[in-house]
Amino acid sequence: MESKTILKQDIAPWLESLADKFEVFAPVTEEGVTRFKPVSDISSADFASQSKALRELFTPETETLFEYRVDGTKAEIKEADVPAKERLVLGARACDAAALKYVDAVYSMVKPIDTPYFDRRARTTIIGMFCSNPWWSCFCTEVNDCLVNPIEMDANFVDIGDKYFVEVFTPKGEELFSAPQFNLASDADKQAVEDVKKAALSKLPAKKAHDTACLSYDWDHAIWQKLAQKCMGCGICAFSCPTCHCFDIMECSKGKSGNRFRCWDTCQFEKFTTMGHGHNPRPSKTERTRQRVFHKFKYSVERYGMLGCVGCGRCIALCPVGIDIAQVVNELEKV
Amino acid sequence: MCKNPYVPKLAVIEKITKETWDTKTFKAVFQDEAFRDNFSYEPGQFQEISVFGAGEATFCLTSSPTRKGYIEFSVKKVGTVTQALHDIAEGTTIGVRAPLGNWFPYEQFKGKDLWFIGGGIGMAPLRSLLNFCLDNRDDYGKINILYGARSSSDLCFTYEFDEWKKSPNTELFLTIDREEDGWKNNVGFVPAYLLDLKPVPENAVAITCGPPIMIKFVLQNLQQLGFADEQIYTTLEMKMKCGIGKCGRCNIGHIYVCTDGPVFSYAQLRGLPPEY
Repeated sequence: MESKTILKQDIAPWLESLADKFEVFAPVTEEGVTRFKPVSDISSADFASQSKALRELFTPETETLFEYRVDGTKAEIKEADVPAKERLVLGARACDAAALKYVDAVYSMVKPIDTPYFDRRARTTIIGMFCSNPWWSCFCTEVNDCLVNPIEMDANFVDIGDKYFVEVFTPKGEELFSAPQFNLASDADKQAVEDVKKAALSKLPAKKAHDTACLSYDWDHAIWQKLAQKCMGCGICAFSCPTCHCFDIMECSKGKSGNRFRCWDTCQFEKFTTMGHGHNPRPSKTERTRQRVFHKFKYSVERYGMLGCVGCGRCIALCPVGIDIAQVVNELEKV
Repeated sequence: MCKNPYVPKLAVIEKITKETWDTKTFKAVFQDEAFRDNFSYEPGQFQEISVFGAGEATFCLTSSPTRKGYIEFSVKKVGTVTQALHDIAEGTTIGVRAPLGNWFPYEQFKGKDLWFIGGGIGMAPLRSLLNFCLDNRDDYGKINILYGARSSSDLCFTYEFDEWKKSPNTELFLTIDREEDGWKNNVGFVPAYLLDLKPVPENAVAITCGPPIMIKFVLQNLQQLGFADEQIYTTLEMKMKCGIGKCGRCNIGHIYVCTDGPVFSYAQLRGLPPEY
């Protein structure tokens, strides 16, 4: 599909023309936190900061599954309403979009599929924003090539100065860019994009074969105890992670009515696997830190045929005690 | 949009049987008649039970699919949802998501002698397969039931013992941990009693469930008796929430107990990390 360009100043009128059809989401910084939010004025968007992972648009932190009402011995269930409006995401990172392929696999490999998730997937159009300035902790190029070959997005914007270069991947994307604000990209635009990409790639690590190296990871490696001593078990690694998808199912009730909801949970919490009678197959941080690394780099390869890490680097940047998952796997792979 | 898989079907508790001081068995009937008529499951599968106001928890189906129109599950009082279940009365409406997980490969068991080896509440999942086999009695060889508990008052399903014993070519071996007045059966732990009974491995299958420590020694003793890993089956307990392979907590390595299990042969378990 042919590449386009749009002047930065034309983004606002273009998005306004889509307002009837889409709820538009873009990264917005509030009180120091950048996350995807509905925006009515695109000038409030902050494409430069590293946002919280896109995944909360698909796996919300908490989500009502159904409501119920109890009356004596009787009970009634009311399923949660599903919003119908189409969503347009502008500014998705390539790593975050690639992470959706992984979550898709987790939530669909075994039937029944996760219908609330796939409903959100189906009504969301995703436009990426190329990472011209990768974070110090980014290592996407070490685990995949999504930065230069994006997946799970309909189009991708690249900042080339006063305009965005638009790579179009799907018919859904093509339709959006038939608007009058878009022009066909010139050879000079294409050259500018190549330069931007080259500059970004030069700041990132080279590809490593984690997907084969993981098969010989040492279960009893000394690193697990070292990590366990350092780790506080806070779970920030999981809650900032675009591929983490684990959840708890709980409920909240008052009087006769209540609701069943799910919320993010993590293998780093002791209660995650503690059974009613007290037995816990992963009783200490030694087992729990191993679980996180093995799940991302080994079990996911064995189960879904892909790494469970997209190299976004958030867990590395945010860990309060400086645990670096990339360093950990490199340690495991030392011969 | 397809049905939300986290929304349970409503069912009414028709009967509550007190098994022991801390365990009750619940018989539930789906409210929706069409769903009830079409509902089927396999021995060894499990379900997520909702007590509205308390939450959802995982229990195996202890009833046999040969006995239609209802489901049964046994609950030992250990936590929030199990306590709430113990507090409800007959007639209460609960939520059920079922059937979930895999089941015992009973087709492969046909023509073989079966050894059911259960401890305490671990008898619950075995009872589903046991009654299934007894209802298809001609399909199987000799059926041996070895069932133990801490004391005679900790044995579940005592009201079915006579029916089990009366089935053709079926034997029931009971054992409790310590001597009791009037107890005429064996005294001792299940694994030790198993060695005394000396099951013959030829053309036999052993199916075991109970406390982890019991399973550990039952496995050792079965191997000592000559049972191959492929002849030993168990059903695993793990913390579960979704029951459909999504919520991520019941993995052993890359295997999910909720969808790849809960039934495993020892040959399958041997290849997994020791984390269960």
